[in-house]
Amino acid sequence: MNTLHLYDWLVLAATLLFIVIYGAWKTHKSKTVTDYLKGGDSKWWTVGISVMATQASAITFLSTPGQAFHDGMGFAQFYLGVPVAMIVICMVFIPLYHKLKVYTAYQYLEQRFDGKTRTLTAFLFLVQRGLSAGITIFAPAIILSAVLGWDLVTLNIIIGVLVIIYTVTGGTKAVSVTQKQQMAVIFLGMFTAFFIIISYLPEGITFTKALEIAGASGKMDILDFSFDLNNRYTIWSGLIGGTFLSLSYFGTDQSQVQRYLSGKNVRQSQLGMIFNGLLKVPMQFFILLVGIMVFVFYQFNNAPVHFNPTNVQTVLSSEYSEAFQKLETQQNSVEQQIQETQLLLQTATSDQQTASYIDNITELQKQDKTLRKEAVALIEKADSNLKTNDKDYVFIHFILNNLPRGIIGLLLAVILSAAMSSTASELNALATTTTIDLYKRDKRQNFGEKHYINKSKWFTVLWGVLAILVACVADLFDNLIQLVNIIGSIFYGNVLGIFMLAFFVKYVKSNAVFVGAIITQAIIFCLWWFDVIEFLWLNLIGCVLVMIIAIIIQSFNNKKRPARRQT
Amino acid sequence: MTEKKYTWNKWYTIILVANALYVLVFYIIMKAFS
Repeated sequence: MNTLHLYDWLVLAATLLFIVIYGAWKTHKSKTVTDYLKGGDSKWWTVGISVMATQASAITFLSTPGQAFHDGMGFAQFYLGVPVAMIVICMVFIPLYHKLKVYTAYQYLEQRFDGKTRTLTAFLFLVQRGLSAGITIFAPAIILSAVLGWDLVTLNIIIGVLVIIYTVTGGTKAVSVTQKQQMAVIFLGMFTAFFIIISYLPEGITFTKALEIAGASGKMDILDFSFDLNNRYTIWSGLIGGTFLSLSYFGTDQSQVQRYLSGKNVRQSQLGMIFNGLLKVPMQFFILLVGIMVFVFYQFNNAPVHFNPTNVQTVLSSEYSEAFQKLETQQNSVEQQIQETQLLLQTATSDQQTASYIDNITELQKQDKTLRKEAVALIEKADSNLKTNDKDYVFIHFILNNLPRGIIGLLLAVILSAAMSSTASELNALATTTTIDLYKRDKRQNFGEKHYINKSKWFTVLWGVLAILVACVADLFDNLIQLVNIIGSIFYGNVLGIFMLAFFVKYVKSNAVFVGAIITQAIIFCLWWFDVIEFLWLNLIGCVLVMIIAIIIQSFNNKKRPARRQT
Repeated sequence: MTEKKYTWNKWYTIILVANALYVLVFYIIMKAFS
């Protein structure tokens, strides 16, 4: 088990404390509902950074490099829809939200349709975002359990409680202010890690050579033009499914809407989103590239047969210990051969030699993969309750075992800053939606600003506790970042469809939308449950389905009405 | 006088061009290193 050096503790504590103290000091005067729930008058760069910091959670920095390590750069395609969605958000959503002076996206739906549609969409948001907030807390808990060997559940509670305290005392304005510092730490940490990994590569392995090595192992297949609905990441699922997912997320998810509603005016909010649209793709590409460099690093250095230290410890203290150790020795020898062949490949003098070395490496990598699978099988035998997916442990394993003292603390600060920034936004949005769309709407009389601020603080605590509970039961299936995206895709399409009807199909009225939304949600849930189609497409299907069903119901309603009048 | 409902500005064109460039760069990288 790794233990942190004093320097790492100092860097980690100083970074996080500075951010929290600075945020609290800078925003201690925010006493009005507008300051607390809307965040005041932010400039475009604050809006842009805040939007990016909200989306980039600890999961992003834990899972994405691991995703690149195992599956290559294809995940970058997922973000190609973001810039397209930003244009629609800037042209349609932002001007309207600002014009109506709403606190939440769902307030608009009551003005356009009715109270029950507003309540339904607010409810769908609360369910999916409440679940996602749990995952956002769960991710850093994994890291610290790997670092300190603590129990995951205990860690979920500790991290969750710290985030609750910070969010309750800070409010929306503090969230925006601290996110600037958090993003600075994130970029500083990731760039530092990137350059250190490159400097660790053997002499003669330049950045370009490293990319060639990754390419030879099939890790540089960034774009996939095949139109296969069951292929998760293709350019089409990214551009079409990704656009719809981004439209739903940025246009209708309060944790994002709240960020750009903090803009001083329409222009500042729009510029903030354009900033996000321009930087999102390169940022994700860069994080994936870090994962690729980690992969190349492990072509010249020994990697463990399994990255999750808890699983390894369990199997080593079981009856399968000897078998596991034998696998480790075998894998060590395979890795040694990979390393030697990779170095020989760099000195190859003919195409024939190069091809032969690449064939050798491919064969050895296959053996390496088989040994990893056998290790997983042994872990499952040792304890069938253990989660055997180790993707999310790849980057943190690299950080803890290879980076210099102090830098480990900085990278942990990156991950915790990311976790804090997204969780703060999520809890803040959950509390605002509960206060404005459920509580305040229910209590028609006005109790005054202080009352609603206090309620909002209590709702933040409540959602924080619920998020901790979700974190404690969260299952690590496939990959954390995908889990969040899957949860989003189940609900987002439907909600986006409702907003699309509100914006563009004036003909459709409230009852048709409400019934259409409920039918759509049931269908989408079945499609996901029976695994009919890749989850990204659920955004598109949900959106189109609710629009079609609502239009059909409205047409029937319109036909019935004149008929009744005649009788 | 009717208010113009949705207005296009140069930033939207810049985003679209940038996105097309990202795809092009990805394609070039993929072809160069795969």
